[in-house]
Formats: sequence, structure tokens, C-alpha cells
Amino acid sequence: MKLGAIDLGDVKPSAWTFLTWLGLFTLLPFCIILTMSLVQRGEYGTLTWVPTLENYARCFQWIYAKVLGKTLFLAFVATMSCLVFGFPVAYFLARSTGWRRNLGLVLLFIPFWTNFVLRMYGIISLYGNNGLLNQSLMAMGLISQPLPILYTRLGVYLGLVYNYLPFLVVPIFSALEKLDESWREAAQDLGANRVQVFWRVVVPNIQQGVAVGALFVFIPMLGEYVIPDLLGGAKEAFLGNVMVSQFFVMQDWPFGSALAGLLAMLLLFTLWIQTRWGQSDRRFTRG
Amino acid sequence: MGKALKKPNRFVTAIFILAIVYLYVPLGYLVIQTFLKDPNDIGGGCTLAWILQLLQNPDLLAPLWTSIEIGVLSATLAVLVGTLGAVGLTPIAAKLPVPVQTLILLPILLPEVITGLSLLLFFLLLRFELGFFTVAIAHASFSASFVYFIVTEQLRKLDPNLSEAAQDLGARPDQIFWKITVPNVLPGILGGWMLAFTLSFDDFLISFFTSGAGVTTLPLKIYSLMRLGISPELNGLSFLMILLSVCLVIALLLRRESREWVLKR
Amino acid sequence: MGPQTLIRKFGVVLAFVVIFGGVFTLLRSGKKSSTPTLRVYTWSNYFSDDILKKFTERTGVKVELSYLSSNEEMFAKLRAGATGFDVIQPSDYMMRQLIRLQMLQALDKSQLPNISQLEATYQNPPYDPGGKFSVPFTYGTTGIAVNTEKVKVPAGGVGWNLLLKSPDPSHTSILDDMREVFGAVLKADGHSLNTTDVKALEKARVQIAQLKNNILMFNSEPKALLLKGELNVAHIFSCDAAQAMAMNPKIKYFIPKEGGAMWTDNFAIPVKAAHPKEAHQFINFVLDPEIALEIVREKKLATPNLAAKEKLSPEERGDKTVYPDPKDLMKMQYLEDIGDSLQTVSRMWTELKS
Repeated sequence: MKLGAIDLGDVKPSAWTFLTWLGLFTLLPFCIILTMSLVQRGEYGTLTWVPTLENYARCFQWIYAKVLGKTLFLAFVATMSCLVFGFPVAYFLARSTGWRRNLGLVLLFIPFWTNFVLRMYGIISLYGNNGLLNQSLMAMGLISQPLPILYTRLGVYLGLVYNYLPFLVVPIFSALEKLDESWREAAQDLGANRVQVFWRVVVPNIQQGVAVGALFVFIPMLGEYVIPDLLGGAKEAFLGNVMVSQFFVMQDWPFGSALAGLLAMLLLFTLWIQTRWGQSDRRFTRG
Repeated sequence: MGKALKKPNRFVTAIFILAIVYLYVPLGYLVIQTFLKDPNDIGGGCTLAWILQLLQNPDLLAPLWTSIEIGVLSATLAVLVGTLGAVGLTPIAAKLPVPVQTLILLPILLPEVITGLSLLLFFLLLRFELGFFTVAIAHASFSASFVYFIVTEQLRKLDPNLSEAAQDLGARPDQIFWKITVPNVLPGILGGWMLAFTLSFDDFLISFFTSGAGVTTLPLKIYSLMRLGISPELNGLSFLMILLSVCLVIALLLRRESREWVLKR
Repeated sequence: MGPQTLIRKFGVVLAFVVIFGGVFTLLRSGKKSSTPTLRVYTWSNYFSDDILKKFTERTGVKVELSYLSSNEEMFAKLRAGATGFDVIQPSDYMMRQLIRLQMLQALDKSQLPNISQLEATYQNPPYDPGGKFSVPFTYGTTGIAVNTEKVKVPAGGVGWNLLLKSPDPSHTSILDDMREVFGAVLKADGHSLNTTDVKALEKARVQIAQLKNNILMFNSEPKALLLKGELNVAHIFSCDAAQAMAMNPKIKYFIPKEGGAMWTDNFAIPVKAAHPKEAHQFINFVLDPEIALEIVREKKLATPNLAAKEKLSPEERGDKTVYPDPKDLMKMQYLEDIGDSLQTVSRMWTELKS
């Protein structure tokens, strides 16, 4: 029996195990959410099994569109910040060798073997109104009032960059590593200066890797719940917060599911765009 | 191969150091606070009291143990499933239809809110009791794909000539599997296990949704403690965990160093 | 296909079966231990380890606590069918909902001999006539905590304006609770907590929208930050305020002169509880005057247990934060069901938070 280019008889049982696992614990729950997004909410959060598209329609109401817009902006700025800082970091690691590189990688990841919540706790201790940063700046006489960092959007940005930076560094580092040094030298021998080498040789070849890395950071940020909650003072609700509150506060599971479904579709769409763009861009791949 | 890489220039090094400082200062502050008598007052004296209190606190040790148990269980599950998948799908990886490729990527890409909420609904609708195993399964569900990718990468790097040569020399398929494939993939499997364990141990949001009565993982406990503001023990906890990871890393590096040392002899 | 390949394929299929079979059995059974374990879903900081140990000593039953962060979260999990909780601690307004939706077991009073120790009013609360489904654990009010060292209390007494137009906005917080926040604003305007008047609600919404820019954060557990000095004026539950005051006497609790919400946290047993007998044992245990006394002393809670109350020192009984002045109590209201207006308020709240 054939499915596309694959002869199903060729698919080994081990593969089926994995696929069934995915089907059961990833696909099925996702379908449950999708189904739930298509029914109506009853009294007190029960479900009436009446099919409806009104949950999706509600997603496009102004307040939710605003939330989505805010979230996209937040994730975009945070991803760009990670990129701006992450690129030099990845570059540093790619150009280092031996113990320096290993040390760098290790240093980058040790904070991640502590706990996510502890890291947030550390940030709160540091940037709070009575935290180390403000206390030091005041002690040094540089400011008279504490800087409001925490419980504002800035706090959320700090937390996001803190958490996602290493995850952007790794794909960029990978891509830089695969870059063939001889092309650079060839370009330089042909008379290109450092800037030209960078833009004409390095960038086009790592574009794919960087884009993938950025995607892997941008998408999870869209669904962030804890960081805006803890570091933003719960003052601003982003998409993740609104979604969760539908389930736990508003008792409106269908609507929460619709938001989730919408986010998932946005994600798949972004993925699709990225693969198409990647396919049309095949240059200088190592042959 | 080209000539040796030029060392990174000063600007890039500076940014790197800045990044490291940014990552470490919050944690460093917590560690310092561990040893202060009054966490809010740097001028005050030093003490080991907080650490001692922490080590004797069953309230924090129990969730730590739970997190470790769940981590081990979910990492093992993830490795089993992910490796089987990698082994089975690598031969046809290039021909996999896009929906299947997306499905494999989905657990990694989907924001945790969606994974957590969907699994919560899944468990509840099927009347599975929320608790220890639901958390472990939830963790394994996203780790498995990570393991898949790691092992697939390893399999790809595996030189096909090796198995061909073995075949020419008369080796049977299962001999090839156990004597060639497995030993070469083992580092990937171990790496995958460690990654899966780390992801599970560190996870907050998904545990938040899928945990039930009586199952408190360490991140969940820390979160509830944070809201109560019992800071000194949390500081101590950060110190211990950093210490643990540093020791782990040193141990791993030493092992590698000693192996190379042995090989050089 | 040689025999070796067959064996390999078989091995893989076996692994397949073992993995999935194991997974499903585990999911079905949950983690069971030999002695019955009572699972209590409670608010953080109500029960200390000592109390739980005493319970285990007396009855042989172990207790596992899970922590609630909100009534709504508990309701959502129960509603969706989460079993595994034997004792839950809903607040009064959530009790109404749970009873209406028949999610609770009627209590077997014969297993609760200590129930006679409760004050008469608490044996028959308005949200659960006859006390059929609940046993009150503690009660309190919602008000404002002020760090008097940093912020001066207005001479004319404290009203909701201390919070709503705080003299120290960067150190002010309000509860992350829709009904409570709307309640505060409505009360400040002279309305009832439970009004369904659309104009009043809309006015409240506008006020809260402005308020959002004059506070540091939304926080339902501001005790820690009050003690740390990050907050000087906080919208707070009286039990948290009492605990903060014990650690820092400069922090004082005020019931605003317009009045506000009062609440009761109760024990209840979900319909599908796995260990109802042990659940009753636990509730009876907490109703024991000696135990009640110990709990309230340690955690500064108000007790509806008459026998325990009589054992309190005059100082403890005179603590206005824990046991509000009857004058103040007259101005307080329970949060009640506002029917369809709840949807309206919910949407306003979502808008406000966005």
C-alpha cells in the first residue's frame, strides 16, 4: 500500500510506535481542543454540544485582537532582542576553539539547570523596587527613587530575553559552525573587505538557521503565561494569560479552546511560510 | 579544510561577557543572599543557618524527590519512544509527508500553554486520574520529539559504509544493529535522556496543568513558596542547584579529559 | 525474511505493547499507597506539618495537601471531572455554585460529633442552609493593609479611596480577583457588592481602568511583598493581613468605612471523593476545640469554633483584624451570585486586564 512516496510496508513497527505515541498524546489532545472550540458554553462552564463558530468569531473582537496584536509585538521585540544579543554570543562561540568554546557553552547553560521558577525569583530579587539593582543605584546616589523595572512591560522583556537567549544562540551557533571557512577566505582573497564578507557570504548562508532559531523562540513566546504574570505584575494580559483565564477563571472552555486553536493555526501558518521561503533559497549549500 | 579560525574580536567578546553577566547576576545574588543573616541587608553578617534549615526541610525535599522520580520516568519513556521512532523513520525520513513531519515537530513548537491545556482536557475527558503519571506522560510527550531529532542526527552521521562493509563480511542484520548502530547512537541516546530529564525537571507550566492531588513537583512548590515570600530557603535552594549543576559539569568534563588522557597514552 | 528479522520485529512489537499497556495501566490507577491517603485541596498556609502529623497519629491516615490559588481554578478542575480530591476548601460564594451544581456530598453529621462546637450562626450559614454540605473553617473580611511606617493613615479614617487614589501608587497593589476589585469600587460609590445595575458596573469599569495605571501590581497574596517593603498599601484578605501584622507590627489592617466583603472558607467533600470516611475524620479532627485552638493560634485565623474561641486570651479575642468589630461587620456583605451579570463583569475584567 502506498502513501505518497512511501510504501507503507516499509514502515517498521518501531516507527509506528513513535507515530502512535504522537497521535495519542499530541494529535488527539489537540483535536479535543479543536472540538471544544466549536461548541457552545453552557451555564457555569458546562458544555452544550451545540456546534457553533461563535467562539472563533469572538476571537476577532476588538479586545482580543488587541491582545493578539500586543502579544505579537511583545514576542517580536523580545525575539529581536535575543537576536541582537544572541548573534554576537553565537559568533563568539563559533570562533572559539577547544576549552574556550566548551567553557562558553557550559557557562551559557548552567543557569538552565537551576529551575525556571528560581530564575524568575532571581530576577524579581534583582530588579524589584527594593531589589539589589535599585538599592545599589540609590546607595551610589545615582537615583533617588527606585527605577520601576519590575511589574512593567520592561520587566517582562527582561524575563523573556533571560529565558530564551540560549535557545536562540544554539541554532545560530550551529549554522555558523557549518559555514565553510574557505568561502570567507576566497572572498577575502578576491578583495572583499570584512563587511562585505559578512553580508555577502556569512549572512545568506546562515539565514536559514537563524530563521529557524528565531521561530523556535518567537512561537513559544506568543503563548507565554508565567513571565507576564510574575514579572509584569499581572497588569497586562497577553494571549497566554487570556487563554488560561478562560479555563480557570471565566469558566469558558470553548472560548479558551478557540484562542488556543487560533494560536496553533497561526503557528502552523508561520511554519509553512518558513518552509516555503527556505525551499526557494538554496544557495551555497555544502555539496 | 580552511586555515585556523581567527579569534573572536573584542566587541563580540564583550557582548558575550555581558550576556553571561546578565544571566548570572540574578542567580549570583540569590546565592549571596543564602549566606546572609538578613537576606535584605548586605551589610549584615554571614550564616550557614539557611542552608541547614533547607536541608532539614521535608517540605522542600519531598517535591525535589518527586521531580526526580518524574524526570527519570519521563526521560526513560521519551528515550524509548523517541529512539524507536528515529530508528524506524530515518530510512524514509526524506520521503515523509509534510503532515507527519509537522506532527513530529509539533510537541517542540507548540507553546506550553496549548500543550498543557490540551493534555489536561485529554486526561480529564478520558477520566484518567490527575497525578504522578499524568505529569510524567505529559513531560515525555514533548521530550520524545527532542530525543527523536537528536538520535536521527546521530544516525545520519553514521557512516553507511560501516554497515555495508559489515554486511559484505557476512554479518546478520541484528548483529549490525547491536554491534554497529547501537554503540554509535548511544551517546545520542544518553544525551537525549539528559535533555529529557532536564526539560522535565525544569518544567513548570505543563506540570501546573496536569498535576493533581498530592503531586507537587519542585517548580510548583517553589512557585507557591514565592507567593508566600519565604525567601531564605529559596535562596539556599538556588545555591544548591547551581552547585549541583556545576559539579555535574565538572564531572562530565573530567571524565572526558581522563578518557583523552588515557587515549593519548 | 529470516528468523532473526522476525525476532527483531517481534521484539519491537512487544516493546510497543509494553509501553502502551504500561502507560494506560498507570494512568488508570494513579499512584496508590498501602495506607489510605487523604487528599486535601486547600489554601496555602492553613495547615502546618505538625497538625497533619497529629491527625495521622490519631487516625493512621496520611494527608497529602495540594494548594489552591483560586476558587475558580478548583472549580474548573472539579467540573472537568478531576477525581482524587477528598476534601476541598471553597469560599462561601463558590459553595453556592458547587451546591447548585450538585458537586458536593451531603455531610454525614453522625461522623462529625465535634460539629456542635461551632457557633450557632456557623452551623447554618446563608450560603448553605442547615450546613448540609459544608463546615466553616475560618472567616474574615477583605480590606486594606497599610505599612504605617511608610504611609500615613488619613485623619478622617480609612475609606476605599486610600487604595483607589493611593498616596503611594508605586507601592500599591490590588487583589487579582474580579469580584473583589469590582466590589471595592462599587462600595466606594455607595452601591452594593452584588449590584447588577449596568450603569454602576460600567462606572466601576471606567474607574478600575484608571486605577490600573496607579498601582504597582495585581496580587492576591501581597503578604510577602508587604513584609519586604515592596508594597505599602495593599488590598488584602484579613487572614493574610493578620499574619503580616504578627511579623511587622507597623503594618495595620483597616476595614474601609464604606464596608466591603466578608468571606468564609469551608470544608466540603466532592461527590466523587475516594475516601469519604477519612474525609469526615479529618473535618471532625479540625473541629476539635484543642486542634482548632492550635491552628488559629499559629496561623492567626478566626475560628467559628465556640469552644476554641472561649479558650482564647482576651488579647487574642480583641484582635480586630481577626475578629472584626460588630460595628464593622454590619457594613460587610457576602459576595453573592449575580447571575447573568457575571458574564458582563467577566468580559469587563478581561478587557481591563488587556
